[in-house]
Order: sequence, then structure tokens, then C-alpha cells
Amino acid sequence: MDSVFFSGLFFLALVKATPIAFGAMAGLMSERSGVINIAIEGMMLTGAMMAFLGSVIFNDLTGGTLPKIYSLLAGLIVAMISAALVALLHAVFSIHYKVDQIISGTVINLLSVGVTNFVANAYIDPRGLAGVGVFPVINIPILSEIPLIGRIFFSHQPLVYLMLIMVAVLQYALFKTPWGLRTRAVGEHPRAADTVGINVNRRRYINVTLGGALAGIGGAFLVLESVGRFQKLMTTGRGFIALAALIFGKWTSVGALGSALLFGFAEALGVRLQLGDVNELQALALLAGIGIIVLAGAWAVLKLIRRGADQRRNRTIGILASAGLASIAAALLFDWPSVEIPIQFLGLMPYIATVLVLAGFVGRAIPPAAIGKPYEKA
Amino acid sequence: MKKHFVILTGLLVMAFMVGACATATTDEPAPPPAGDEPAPPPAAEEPTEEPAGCMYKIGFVTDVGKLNDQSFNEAGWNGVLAAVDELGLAEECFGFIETSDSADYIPNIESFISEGFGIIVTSGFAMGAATHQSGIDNPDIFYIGTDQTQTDADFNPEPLDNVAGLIFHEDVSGFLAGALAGLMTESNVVGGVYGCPFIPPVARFEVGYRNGAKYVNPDVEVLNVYHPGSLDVCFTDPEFAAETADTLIAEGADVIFGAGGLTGNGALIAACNKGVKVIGVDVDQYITLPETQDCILSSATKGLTSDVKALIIAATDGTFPGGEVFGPAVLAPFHNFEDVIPQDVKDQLAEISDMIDSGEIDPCAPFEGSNEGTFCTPVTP
Repeated sequence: MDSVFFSGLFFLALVKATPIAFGAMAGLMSERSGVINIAIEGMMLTGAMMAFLGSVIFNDLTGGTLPKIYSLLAGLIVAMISAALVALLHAVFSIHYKVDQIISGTVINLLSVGVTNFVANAYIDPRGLAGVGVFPVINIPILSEIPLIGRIFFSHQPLVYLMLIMVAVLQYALFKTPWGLRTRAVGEHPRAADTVGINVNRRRYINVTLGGALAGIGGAFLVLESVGRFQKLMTTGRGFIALAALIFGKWTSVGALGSALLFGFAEALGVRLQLGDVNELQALALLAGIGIIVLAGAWAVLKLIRRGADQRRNRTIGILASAGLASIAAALLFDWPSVEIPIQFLGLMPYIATVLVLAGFVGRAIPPAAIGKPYEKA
Repeated sequence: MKKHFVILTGLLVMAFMVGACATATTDEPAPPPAGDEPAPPPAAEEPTEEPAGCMYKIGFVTDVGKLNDQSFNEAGWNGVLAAVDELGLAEECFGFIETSDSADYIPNIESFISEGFGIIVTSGFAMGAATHQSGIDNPDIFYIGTDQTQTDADFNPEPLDNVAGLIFHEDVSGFLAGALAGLMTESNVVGGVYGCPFIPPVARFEVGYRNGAKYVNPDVEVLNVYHPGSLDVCFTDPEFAAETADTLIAEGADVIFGAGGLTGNGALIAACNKGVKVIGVDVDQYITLPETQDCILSSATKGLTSDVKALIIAATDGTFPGGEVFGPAVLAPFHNFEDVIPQDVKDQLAEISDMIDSGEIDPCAPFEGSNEGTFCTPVTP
């Protein structure tokens, strides 16, 4: 139970949260403007395959003379464009043809599975294409030297940084800029937006398509930063988890990042506890304590910002904080028996964490009012 | 709030549908990988072809996962192709089905039966029960099941004349892989990333790998991580494996063993990108995963291709052995590391191999906290 354990755990959580956060941002762009997007999985899968093909083919065309970073960047761009095109298809279905948006999303997910499997069977596997590699780790000067924090936040591959930047940019853009106001207006009350001169459908087209590009980065992450090769069905449901993270984060990008981190963290714990160098019960108690304190802290900060003076809430926060402290103290003082937690339970943890947080702390998540309804001019 | 629930429910339904429908799209017999013409049309359409080319019709059903997994399924399928080659069968006489949902084992096998296939190869431990039952129901059809022990529902041995369960001593090749890792490590930490913990062949690899590393190098630290997910994802999640491999490397591991279809591949490629030595599984992954050529020490192989082929040929000439058939489990060639691996390491591996064959070493010996689902069969001297 040392700093290596914690930095490794949080580092891995951030890496695992990255594709989920990109997927959730894709959903955010689309759903805030009123188009349900359950096709994130398909866009990510397409993005992953095209990132692989783009980087490999670019590398072949240039004969391997350029540094591999150019091939990787080419793969990233191809992934963004292709996933944006898939998103455009979703937009055309659901905006122009007014197809039920859930149906359209499903169709796109199925289509992506079929197309990527076909291309893998017909083109990638017979040719034995080999991946170009992955983006190198970029250590941010000075910051990455900080103990613990430096390892967790400032020693990543570029797309992880890009994800953090995009979350901040999107949060700011959505709630502090005219673009964000118009986007939200289109998603909440398109008729009102229309009467003040916003072109509702054009805005929806643009948002869904740009969102697709973000999902494409999420897919590209799997190939260009994580694995280094496309494998069939490699998204394994991460697009759906992204959607859950979006809802869970109340349709904000910071909230979505928070829930993506929760998923990532639980998954990382499932890996980390298998290494067998820590007392598993003690680690769980310690982390639960830290989690509760972080939650109480976040709640208190939120309350300060909103200047709410509800006495009852104050007490709850106090109780939470002391429960967290008690849990940490118990973890450190008590001599825990060495119990091996079954691997299947470790696999369950992301979902248990979700249920606990969803039931206990998130409260009502209210979607944009006009979501799922095609807009028709009166 | 209500709408929110509708959306969430829709989402869940969708997730299931994608699973189910993906089955529908990929379960069609797809073209063989070599870019050949599409696989067999239903026999009923061309009965006159029967005497000409189709002396035997051979069907191959993959486990959840894909045919071209550069690993387990692919090796079995190559055995079918080799047999087809030797028997000189026409293209319409063999085909494959990729299972994408574990609920479809029986329908996939039955679709071959209904098309008149006489030899059916099913790939993977998880299909064992379905294959065995189908063997009881259709005594005229030959079944070859890779990684499948032949037992009834209560795990009592129940060999059938028409079903051959091709099984391997994964613990042996895992032990050799572990010994190689234990001898080649410089940091005294070696790692392994595995598929599902409840699939016995995977468990045997894991237990064998740890025992092998500890046998040659008692001080070595062995970090083994299984995919904690369900059967639907634990062999098809390369991202999990890649990030796990990175974690193991951060913990100091300098040899990584990847065992578990596409999941294992993710670990191998990711570790190789970090310049760490890797050991592949099932087939010689030097050949199937070109990304790893500069860092793959060897692979813990099963003789899948040759044995599937041999069993198919046996089915055609009347020497088909029912029951459990053991295939070889050995290390693949060292390729680029032929000159790097010192001679005394090679000698030691050969010596260990002999000691396992003579029963002096039990590669599957349980240790504290070991996976209990290995179901090892002792190596008879």
C-alpha cells in the first residue's frame, strides 16, 4: 500500500476512462442539440478500424520513410473523418428522414459491426497487415516530476491530454458561449430557437457530425494508443458505457468525465488487485474511504458555488466526511485478514459502483427536453 | 424522469439486440480467409455434386470470437484447410460459422447437420457440452472438439465413438513458457495476461506458467492477471489486455505471456511496443502477429493444426478414435531470438521437458491461491 500502488491505480483509471469520455462527449454534442445518439459504439468501432487502416496504408504509401508519428496522425484524422461520416448518416436518418432516432442508432451499430468484420475478414487478415505502433508517452516538463501527481496526470500519451482538454473546452463552450446557448436552446425548445433565427436542423447536423469525430478519436485511442492493432469487435460495449456515463453525468462533459473515471477506476482496481501485492480488503476499505471523502468534498464545493444554505445537507456532508475518515482509519489501523476476492467480483465492480452512485448521489438526471423529436417548421 | 427511464430501458434492450443481431450478421458461413470463393451453399441445391467432389463435408464452428484470431480458432481452421487439401475436396465441401453469442452453439452446429455435413469441428472448451450432446444425438456424424474433455453432465468420463475431444497439456507448454520467462528475465519480475479464468485450458496455461517460472527461478515474482469479464468479452478485449500489460510493465515485468485469443494478442502487441519481451500462445505467433517479431521469445503452442488435420483424415479412413485424444504441447521456435537465448537455457528447457515427460515435475501443481479450475490430466510417463 504505497504511492506506487496509488499512482498506478489512478494512472490506469485515467487511461481506461479516456475512450469512454470521448464517446460520452460525442453523445453530449448530439443529445444537447436534441438528437439521441446510441450509435456511439458503432462510430467508435468504425473509428478504430479506420485509424488502423489509415495509419497502416499511409505508412505503406510513404514507404516507411517518414517518422511513424505522421502515420499515426494520418490514422487519427482518417478515424475522425470516417466516424464523422457515420454520424452524418445518423443525422440524415434522424433529421432529414425523421426516422426514430433509437432505430437509426441501432441500425448504425449493426452496420458498423458488419462492415468492420467484413473489412477485417476480406482485407486486413488475408494481407496480414501489421500495425504501425502507438503514440509515444509525452512527459510534460517539470509537472511530470511532481511525485504521485506527476505520474498520474502528466505522463500520458497525447490522446489522454486531448481528452482532458476537450472536456474542459466543451464544458466551457456549452455553458459560457453563444454557441453553447444556441445548442442547448435547440435541444430544449427548438421552436423558440427557431423564432430567434437559429437554424435548428443545420445546428443539429453540425453537432451530430462533430460529435461523431469525437467518437472517432475514442475509437482511434483503442488502436493508436492502447493496442496498436485493430481487432474485430474491439470496442466491447465501451460506446454503451459512454452513453451511460453521459446520462449519469447529467449531460455535462465534466460530469461525464467523472462517471467515466468511476468506470475506469473500478476496472483498474479489477486489474490491480489481481497482482496480489496488497491486502485486498484493506485496499478496498481505504479506497472507499477516499472515495467518500472526495464525494463529500465535491458536494461541499458545489454547495458553496450555488450558495445553498440547507442545514440538513450540511449535516449529510459532515456525516459522509466522517464516515470516509473512519473508513480510512479502520483500513490503516485494523489488521485485515488476507482474503482473495473472486475475479468475477472484480469484474462486477464497475457496475456495483455505478448502482451505488446512481442510487445514492446523482439524483435526477433530466435530459434535454426536445431530445428524440425531429423538428418540423410550423 | 419517465422519459429518462424509457431511454435507459431502450439502451439496455439495444445492448442485447446488438449482441443478438450481430450473431445474425456474422453467423453466415463467410468466405475462407485465403480470399477464396464463398463457403458452401446448402447441399440441397446441388445434390448432383455429391459423388464428384463432396466425399465428406467438413464444417467448423468457432467459439465466441473470430476465425482469424491469429491464435486458437485460426489454428483449428488451418487444420481443416490442411485436411481439405490432402483430401482434395472442392470448395463447396467445407465451411465455417463464427459464433458471436454463447447461446448459439447448438443452432450453429445444427445448421451444419441440416446441410448434410459429415464431419464437424467445434473450437473451444465452452462448446464441449453442446458438441457432446450433438454427438449423442447424431451417431453417424463425426465430431472433433478442440479443448473439450469428454464427460457427461456430472463430469464423469463418457467417451463416444464418434466424438474426439482433442485436448492438450497446456500446463506443460505453459510451464515451459514460464521456465523460459524465468530464465530470460533480468528484473526478476514476469507477467501474464489471460482470458477467462473459468476456461480450464486458460487456467492450465496460467498455473503452468507460474510453476515454470518459479521452478527455474524461485526468487522470481509472477504477476498474472485474468480478464474479469464474462465469456462474451473476455476473449475479445485487446484494450483491457494492452493496458494490463502496461501496468505489469510499470510493476517491473520484463517478459509478458499473453494467453486468451484477441485479448492475449492485445497484451503481446502493447508489451512489444514498449520493447518488452513477450511469449505467445496456441500457435507460433511470430508468424501470426507480425508486430511482435522483434520481441517474441517463443509461443506456448498446441499442435492444433496438425492434430485437427490428423483427426479429420482418421474420420475419413475409418480409424477415428473416439474419446479424449491428447495432442502435443510444446514451445514454438525462437526465431529472432535463436542466437540471443543462451545455449544453457535451451539445454535446461530440454531437460525440463524430459522431466515433465517422465513425471518428475508436475507442471500443474497447485499453489496458494491458484486457480482451482484447471482440471489437469497428469502426464503419464
